[in-house]
Amino acid sequence: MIDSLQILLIVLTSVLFVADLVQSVFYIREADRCEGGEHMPRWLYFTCFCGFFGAMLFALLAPSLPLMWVAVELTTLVSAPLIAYHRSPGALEAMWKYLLICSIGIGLALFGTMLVMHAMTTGNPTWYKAGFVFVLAGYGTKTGLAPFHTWLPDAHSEAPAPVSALLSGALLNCSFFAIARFRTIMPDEVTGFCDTAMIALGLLSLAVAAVFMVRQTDYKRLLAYSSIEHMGLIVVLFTLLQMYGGSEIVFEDGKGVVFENITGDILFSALLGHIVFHSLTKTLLFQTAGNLLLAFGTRAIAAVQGLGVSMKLHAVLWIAGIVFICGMPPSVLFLTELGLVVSAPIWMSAIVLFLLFCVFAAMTKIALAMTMGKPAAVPRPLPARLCCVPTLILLLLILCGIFFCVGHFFH
Amino acid sequence: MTSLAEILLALFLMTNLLLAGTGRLRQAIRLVAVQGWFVGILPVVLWNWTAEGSPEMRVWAVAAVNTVVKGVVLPALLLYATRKVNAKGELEPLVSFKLSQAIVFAFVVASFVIGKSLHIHEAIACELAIPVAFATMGTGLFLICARRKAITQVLGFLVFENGITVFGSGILMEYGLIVELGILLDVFVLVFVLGIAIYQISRTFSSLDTDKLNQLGDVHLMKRM
Repeated sequence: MIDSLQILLIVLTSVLFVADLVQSVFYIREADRCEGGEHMPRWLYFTCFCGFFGAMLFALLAPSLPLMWVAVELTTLVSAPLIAYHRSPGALEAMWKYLLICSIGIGLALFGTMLVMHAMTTGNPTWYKAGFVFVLAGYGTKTGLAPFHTWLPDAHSEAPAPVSALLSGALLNCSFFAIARFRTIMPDEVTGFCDTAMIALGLLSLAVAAVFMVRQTDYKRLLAYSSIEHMGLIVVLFTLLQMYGGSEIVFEDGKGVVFENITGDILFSALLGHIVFHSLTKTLLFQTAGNLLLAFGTRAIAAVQGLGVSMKLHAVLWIAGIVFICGMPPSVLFLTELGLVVSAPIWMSAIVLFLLFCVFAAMTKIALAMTMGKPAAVPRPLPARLCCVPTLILLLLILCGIFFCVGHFFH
Repeated sequence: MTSLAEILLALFLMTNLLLAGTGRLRQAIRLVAVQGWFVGILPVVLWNWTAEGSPEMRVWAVAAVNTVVKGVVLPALLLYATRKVNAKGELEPLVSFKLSQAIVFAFVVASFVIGKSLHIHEAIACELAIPVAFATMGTGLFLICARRKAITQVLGFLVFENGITVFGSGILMEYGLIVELGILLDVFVLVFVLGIAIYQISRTFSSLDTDKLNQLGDVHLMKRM
């Protein structure tokens, strides 16, 4: 299972990298023109951007656990300068928090890695437990799980839009992959403990995101909290798969995975589907939000009104993205969340449904307020090329969604 | 050789206490450099000389690179940054120096209690290493929380990292050369990037107090409720 997850994440990260690189070329030029101010050299931006992609691939492909640690720490180091592309006070603050909080988190993960590796030589379950706690806290910081998520809204809101998209769509998945890798090597006597811890963090992330989204005033932070919410859902999905999926049967040609029982199959496809569609939709949303920021010059929700009149294409992209990310029925995320709710115990389903409803209410209220009504301010005209990549991603989302649904219908 | 290792680790604990009590940046950086030397030579000292003879090339190489990077290069980099941004010492820390020392001392006691209760005997090179590692990690995290200056927070991170390295040497962790060098490279690049960030922060905010870095966040959303 971990192998299919690995292949999927490599493909996904590469697709998102290309999309965000192209968008960067358009976005950075436009941002320099309208924001002015001091910014770091463009060659350095693109060097770090490509280095970031390289570090993420290294993290996904790392042959051993300590090497994976080196790679994940490397992703922090090369992505931090990208956040402070514009050297504004807010961006510097976000970069400082990102560097310090993530490095300490990753330091704890190194400690956890040592404990787990020591446990593998001695076979002592206490060491496994202690190691997993530190690994979960460490890589959980990077994944954006509450209560270690505090760097995430700051970094995502201050970074240039393509960087936010790559952080949210690709980096969070890579560090989730690190947690998943550790979880699968845990011996049977400690899995119950690990699963409880992961479910607790996943549900807490969902709750924190819901609370902060309801009264949010900044549309990029709204998307950042939505990432926290979805990482929580992914962690819960993964843990449920470990708990109820039963053991997996690998085909003889090694080209696929099935589980012993049907719940395992449902949860497995829900997990992969959720990861892919969350990343793609979030990229679409962050790129659109970046364009809105260029057009209106502010991240305040109150300042953006009447998109449906003033920027029609962006209004379509924004509403479509919000509909997809909330998991409304045409979206694949609806199916994956349905899979989660039907497989989870009843109390967990109730909590998840309630929190998802809060998130849904918050996001749609804000999205409608931004698209409906009369325009409050006249937006700057933007070149059409800025819409190319988000539109293509929207088409890709619709196409993949149809394939996913049709595939499952026949399955 | 255990006795030499124990002396080294005891000195290591003392540097933690001194770090908590000093307000002068240069002195603090020198103390971290001393810790770097200790961390560098620890694997060689902990090596079981009588049973296994002279250590292999890998151990020597890691010890040498560790000592040079943590004991010389990083402190030099930080001293350069201090000069460049003209940083003064920690004049008004969030927690006073006396209280800091008391808290770090409490960490040391707690680490020994925890270390005793863990009953670790398998594959441990030196029993003292585990509590010292815990105490050092605690000191590092405490320094990050209790000090205002950005440079002192970087020092706190280095101390925390040293604690993890001591733990690794203490349980005779063997990752292989590539990983050791990778970890070291990460720490080096991190301090480098943090140094650049400090420079940018001091230019933009005309101060190094991290108190000024509190404009972002969602606390205001809660206040309106």
